[in-house]
Amino acid sequence: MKKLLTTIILLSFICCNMIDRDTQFFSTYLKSVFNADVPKSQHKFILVSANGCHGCNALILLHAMLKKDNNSNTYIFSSDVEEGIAKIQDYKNIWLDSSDKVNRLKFHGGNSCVMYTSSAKIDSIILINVEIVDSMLNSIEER
Amino acid sequence: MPLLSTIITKNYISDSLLIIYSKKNKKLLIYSVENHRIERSIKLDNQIGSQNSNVYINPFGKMYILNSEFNSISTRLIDDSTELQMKFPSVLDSFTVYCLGSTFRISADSQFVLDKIPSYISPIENKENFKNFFSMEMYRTYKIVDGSIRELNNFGAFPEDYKENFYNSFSPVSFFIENDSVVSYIFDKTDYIYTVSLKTGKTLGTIKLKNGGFNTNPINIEKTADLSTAKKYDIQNRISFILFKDKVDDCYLLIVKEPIEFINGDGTLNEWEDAPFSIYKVNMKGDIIEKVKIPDYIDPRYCIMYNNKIIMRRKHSKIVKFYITHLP
Repeated sequence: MKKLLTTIILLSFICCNMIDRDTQFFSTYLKSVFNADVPKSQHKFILVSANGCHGCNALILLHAMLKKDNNSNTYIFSSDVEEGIAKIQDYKNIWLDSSDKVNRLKFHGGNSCVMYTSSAKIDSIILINVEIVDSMLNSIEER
Repeated sequence: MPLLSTIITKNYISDSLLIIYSKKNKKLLIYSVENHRIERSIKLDNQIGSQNSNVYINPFGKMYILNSEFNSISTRLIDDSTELQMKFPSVLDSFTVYCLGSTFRISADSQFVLDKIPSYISPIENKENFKNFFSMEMYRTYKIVDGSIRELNNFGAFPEDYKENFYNSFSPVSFFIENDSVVSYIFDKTDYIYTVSLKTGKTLGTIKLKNGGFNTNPINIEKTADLSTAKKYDIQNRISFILFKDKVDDCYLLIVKEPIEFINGDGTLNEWEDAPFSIYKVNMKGDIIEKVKIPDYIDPRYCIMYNNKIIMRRKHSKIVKFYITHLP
């Protein structure tokens, strides 16, 4: 029993430490590229790699443009997506990473992901599944 | 040499010509590697390269195939001399077609062979579709008749193992030999080089690579629903991506991406361009007789064999430069 408790405590410590490390890594990224912080309120970051599925990326961009009034979601793309948007300044929910570091973030595994944050911390990350990308995007708008 | 970096989005090479797609001007620029200048340009219609599209150019001879994903146009063929643009049969709309090797010529009777790649086939989505796809013949012969493209016959089988297991590999890397009448090919994660007659469609021979570590284990099928698994698999495994035949030494030259870790210690991801690349010299018995590491400043992904030498492009160069090399 004692052994089990020690293992659980140790695993929780490792897990929390990993999450904190991820939050720290993401905070540094946001600060250095956008001079922004991870918000204290509940927020969703949709991180998109230009090297991922082109079809998914096109759908995510379209989705971001249609949902531009939703302040709790931020879509981060690399700079080359700008060519596809006539007036990027009209879309406050779309951030363009001119350094293209977003393509190299581990969170999306080389494709794209939804990152849920609150209290300036990462709560969870869900990889965007290529087969159900549309329904996933709709569901994040509803949550 | 002109500064081209601001306009290049995709480029491929055919013989001594570099084909550059200018997204901004919606043009194909034909750049001569020998003369260091743009020889000519072809104006594309405005639909190509529109919002959210990705244009893939595959040259063969003096014709170019354009695949454009996720916009209104379908796959088409452009004739360099007449600038005639021909659409492929609509059955190909959901596929990306690729020409085989870099030395393919259209025959005197206007026939040509292509392979086709599905947008994405995931075995977990529909196991029966997956099996059916890899049971199809992968090469397709076409003929140009009165300015339109007609589909003729199919040939070429996938490895038997592909029907049951997923390798994230949809098409072989090929090279034409013997006056374009024979094609040699290898799948990117397997260790067999096949040789097939284009006239009969029959396999003329196979060579098994020895001692190279080219045979990769398949991906766990349950984990193929997200692309990151497939990406990690590709980065962490050895991948053959260009095959040449060296006529002088009668051997194959296989250009290979070596395996690297997917995630670095600092939390960043590795991509293809971060991996080391090598050239393996393989004799006709399948022995790897030499391995040469490609210098880090070279990007071998866009390379051609020209006069029995390999022409490659320098990495990160704002000016298009080429590095001509041959094995010792």
